[in-house]
Amino acid sequence: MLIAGLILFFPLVTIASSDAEHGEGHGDDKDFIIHHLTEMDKIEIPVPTKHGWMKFSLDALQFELFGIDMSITKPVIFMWLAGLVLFLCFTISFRGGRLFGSKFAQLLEVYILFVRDEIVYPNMGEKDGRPLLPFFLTVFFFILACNLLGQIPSGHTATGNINVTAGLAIIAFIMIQGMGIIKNGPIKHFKAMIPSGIPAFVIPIMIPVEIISMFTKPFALCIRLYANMVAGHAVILAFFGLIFMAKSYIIAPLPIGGVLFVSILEVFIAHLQAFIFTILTVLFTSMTMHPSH
Amino acid sequence: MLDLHPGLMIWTIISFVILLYILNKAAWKPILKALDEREKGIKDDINTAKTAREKAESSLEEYRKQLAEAQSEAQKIVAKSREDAERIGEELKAKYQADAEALLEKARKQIDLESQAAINEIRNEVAGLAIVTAEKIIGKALDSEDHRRLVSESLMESPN
Repeated sequence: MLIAGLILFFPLVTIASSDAEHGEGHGDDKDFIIHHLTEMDKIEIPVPTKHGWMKFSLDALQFELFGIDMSITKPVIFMWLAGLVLFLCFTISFRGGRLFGSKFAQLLEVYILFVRDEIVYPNMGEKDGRPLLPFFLTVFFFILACNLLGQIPSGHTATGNINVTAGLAIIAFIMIQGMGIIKNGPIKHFKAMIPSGIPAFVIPIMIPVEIISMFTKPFALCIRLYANMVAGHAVILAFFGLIFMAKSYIIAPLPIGGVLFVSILEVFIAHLQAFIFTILTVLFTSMTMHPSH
Repeated sequence: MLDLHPGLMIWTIISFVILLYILNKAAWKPILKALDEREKGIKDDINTAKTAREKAESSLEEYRKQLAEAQSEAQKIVAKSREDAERIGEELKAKYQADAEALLEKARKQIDLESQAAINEIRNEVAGLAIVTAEKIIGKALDSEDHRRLVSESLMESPN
């Protein structure tokens, strides 16, 4: 019910959230950006009432498991929401694998074919790519859905949190190394890290370099996605901040135009980052599966 | 902003794995299967169309060849029948010409014979009449056989 409510109220929420920011803005003008980007423990749902917009605040469900803080925080909720949206989109649009459905289904099919024909097959080949296709499709659509949920007013970008992108990078790391080990066997896999035909004295340097590169690849994936998603939001919030700093409504059209522009750019970046994360994972996996290349 | 929350990482991984499992079961498998089937169907259709076209082309070629053969055959037949007709016509013409000539010859001969007979008859008649006339003039009946001979001799002497 909560999720259904969220989806239903999204168009209305636009006004509410900007109103809400007005309220917050009075107290600490400079901190609201950081606060907005890092707030994890509260989910605020604006609801229209007779007395104007009311904010319903849901606190994170806090609990610990084996000494680790496993609280169901805002990013977790929005990751689940992204998963639910994906599940509903694909099951409703393609009931029983039916193609040529609605226009929305055709749009999704374009995305699927893009991932298959432009990302996975050209870089992995059809033979290796086909069994891994569900994994890469999930990576692509999950990141895309997480990115786009942040574009909805009062939504939150789960991928704008470094822990989420780190989790995704860990998954990518396991995939990259795991597929190499499964495909070539553990011995050949780790041997392949040292390129053949190099002088013996370089090997002591090469081994640490290769081990570092093994970890830097997913680390770069993690930072890239996180930074891109945060940057867009920070710019949007900074534009809104201009209104509060000027303390005038007259200046508003300018920042609003800027916000509109950055929002459109962010929709593009949401797609681009999902694409980049996926294609790099595909490339690294393909490299460990075929080390000679 | 960069605080590390291992719990959130673990939640991300758990959520992703569960999502992967669910979507694989509910979405990717049927969708990818349908896409594969559709592409296979298209490929099959293209192949079928290609073989059908090749077949059509080969049969067209065959028909063309047959048509050309039939045409030359027909031309041959026409030429042969024309030749035959000409030959038969020639033969018939020759035959009828010969027939007509023979007929003409026969008729001519007949005419000759008839005219000869008529002349002879006229001669006899004339001889008879002369005898009768002579009898009447002379009033003496001569041996008709002698007279006839005499008249004939005299007629022979005179030019026809």
